[in-house]
Amino acid sequence: MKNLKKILTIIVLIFLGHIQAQELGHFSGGYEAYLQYYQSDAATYFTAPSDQLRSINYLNTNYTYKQFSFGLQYEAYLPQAFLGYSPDLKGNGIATYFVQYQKDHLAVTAGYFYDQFGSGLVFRAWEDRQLGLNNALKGIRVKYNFEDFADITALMGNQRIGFALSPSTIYGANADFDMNKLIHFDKIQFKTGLSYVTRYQENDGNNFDLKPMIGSFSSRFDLNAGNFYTNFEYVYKQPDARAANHVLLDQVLFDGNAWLWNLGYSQKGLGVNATFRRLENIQMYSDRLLEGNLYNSGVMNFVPGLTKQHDFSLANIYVYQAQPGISFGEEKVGEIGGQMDLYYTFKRKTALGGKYGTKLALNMSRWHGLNATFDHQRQIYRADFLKPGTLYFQDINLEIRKKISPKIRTVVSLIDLKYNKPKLEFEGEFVHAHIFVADLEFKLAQKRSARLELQHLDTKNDMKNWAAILMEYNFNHHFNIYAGDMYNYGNDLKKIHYFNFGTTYTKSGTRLSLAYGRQRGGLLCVGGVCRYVPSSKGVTASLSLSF
Amino acid sequence: MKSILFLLSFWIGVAVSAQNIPDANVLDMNGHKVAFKDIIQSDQPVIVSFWATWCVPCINELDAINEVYPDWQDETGVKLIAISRDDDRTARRIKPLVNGKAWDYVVYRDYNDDLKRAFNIASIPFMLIIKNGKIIAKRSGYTPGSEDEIYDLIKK
Repeated sequence: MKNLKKILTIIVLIFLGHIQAQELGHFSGGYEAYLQYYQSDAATYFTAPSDQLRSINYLNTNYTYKQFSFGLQYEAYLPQAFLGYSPDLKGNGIATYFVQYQKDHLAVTAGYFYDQFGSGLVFRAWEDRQLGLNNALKGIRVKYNFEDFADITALMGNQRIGFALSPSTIYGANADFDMNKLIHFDKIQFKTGLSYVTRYQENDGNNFDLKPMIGSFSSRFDLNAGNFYTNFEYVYKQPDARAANHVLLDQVLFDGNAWLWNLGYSQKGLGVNATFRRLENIQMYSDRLLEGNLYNSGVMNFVPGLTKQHDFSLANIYVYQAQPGISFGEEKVGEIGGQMDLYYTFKRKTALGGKYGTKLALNMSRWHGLNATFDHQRQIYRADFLKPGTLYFQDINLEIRKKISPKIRTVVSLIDLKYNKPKLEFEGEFVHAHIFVADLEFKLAQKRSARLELQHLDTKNDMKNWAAILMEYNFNHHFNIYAGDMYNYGNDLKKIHYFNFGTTYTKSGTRLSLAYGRQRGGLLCVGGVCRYVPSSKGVTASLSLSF
Repeated sequence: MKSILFLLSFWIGVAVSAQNIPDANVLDMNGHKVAFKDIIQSDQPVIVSFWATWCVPCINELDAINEVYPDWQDETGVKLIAISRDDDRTARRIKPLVNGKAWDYVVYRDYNDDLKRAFNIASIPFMLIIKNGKIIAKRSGYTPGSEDEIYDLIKK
């Protein structure tokens, strides 16, 4: 595996030599840069770090020639990554590269690749730059499609951790079957899937009796019948030792499992969807010692919090993160709960639809711990299958979208939220909050437009009440300025203005932004995966372009 | 390391050809894999809009276009393909949302971020305007009324 980079370079060079004589292939790429200048801030007790000016840069290039494609990604954290990023992300260098051959039903990739099996509960390798997360595998992957009936993937590799690789090797196989190719169902579409992912990690120097090969298994099906659809997935993980802060915890090994069931109905103008999920000790890491690390380093599967991802700042103060792990200290062994969504459109020219129609989106989610009894002496527990334990989180929210006139469009959001802070963050009190958001868009003359966002959070708990305002003015479709403030005016201890102002410029896929403000510390969650962002103040700038 | 930097400069040097359509698969609403190349095949202009169920400006843009979409189609034959960037956390919301909003678009999902990487999409909404298999314009972000500009581009 160590010589892979050299071999790939040679292959690429041979190809480039070959290309000279023929047509040039296709080249594309992109560049993304983030810049931050930290300033000390007495109000939030923030002291600027040693390197006050920091930048994160990604340069991507892709080249396609006939059946071959090549790519590489250069990353630079100069002089170091932002606060809250993994300390493994430092310096600069070629972070990922690959060569892929694709012909008819076959695709072979060597180098770094991203993939997902099923819903990701058993395996997912992906990149999220906002989270500083990139857990691509470096190795070989082969995909083959048999007559559209079976879609097969086999892979092996080491996982990327910062600019280095995991101490383990991951092997995986996945098969998705389209049963309609086998049996003819009338008006029913039926698919099934199976995956097996295993991690080979030597037991280095401790006296634990651990097998080096520990795997997990997923089986699932997907059914569509007319307006109804449903899908189900079960994942089982073989017993493994637990770890915290880079230390193996106890001699007892625990297995894990996950159940996911989804049911939906939709027709034009109406859509309903309900999801049930039960998790028990199901997070997997490419290095077992990385369990529970703050940076999502070495994460091998995707266990997102199944709640609505709100787009407004006050709705993101109390966000739920999935609770898949075991903690004897906190008496937690997983989670159980569900989520429901309803979308409905009141047609134009009806009483509730008005002239332009009204769109509703109702979402409810409720998550509990598993009900379990703990034997602290022997370090074992017993969890009920369906009985919910302590309430962790609940969110009931309604969003109403309405066009008031040809020039004005509104979104109103009402949220009722319960957040068990002591169980989820190990501090503070249980929070029950109500949030109101109004987002108004005004179309003005000559391509100009404006946006006003008003928010209020009402609670007697934790940091008490908040209010927020955001004003945005678009000079045209390329250039805007904005200013906003978030203020926890109800807080008895310290009332802080989290102000922000800035500008963005966009032109054909290129985007440039500049802002100054105070950042609230807390969880930054993207796609249900969260990273802790410390409170800070300063200038931020970003640039993204593609070529 | 040196050889890779050399390659990099070489590649930038040969960056003469227009961006082509990448070999990537997306999922249709019934979970079948389809090639991106095939879904944008059309004699008429095609708009590819990258969006997500959690992206408010994306939904504002698609709602706004949906109101004028029948007129656009009559006048230009344009087809809008809405490609969701939702991952498995929110993917189950796509179908009820699209139906609940009564959108007339064809909807797919960039399930393994292959298109995101191929087009270097840093943020959404992000839009491609394609004519005769060639990308003639890219757009990022949405401001009220910017749909009029898209219409001007497809009408050309």
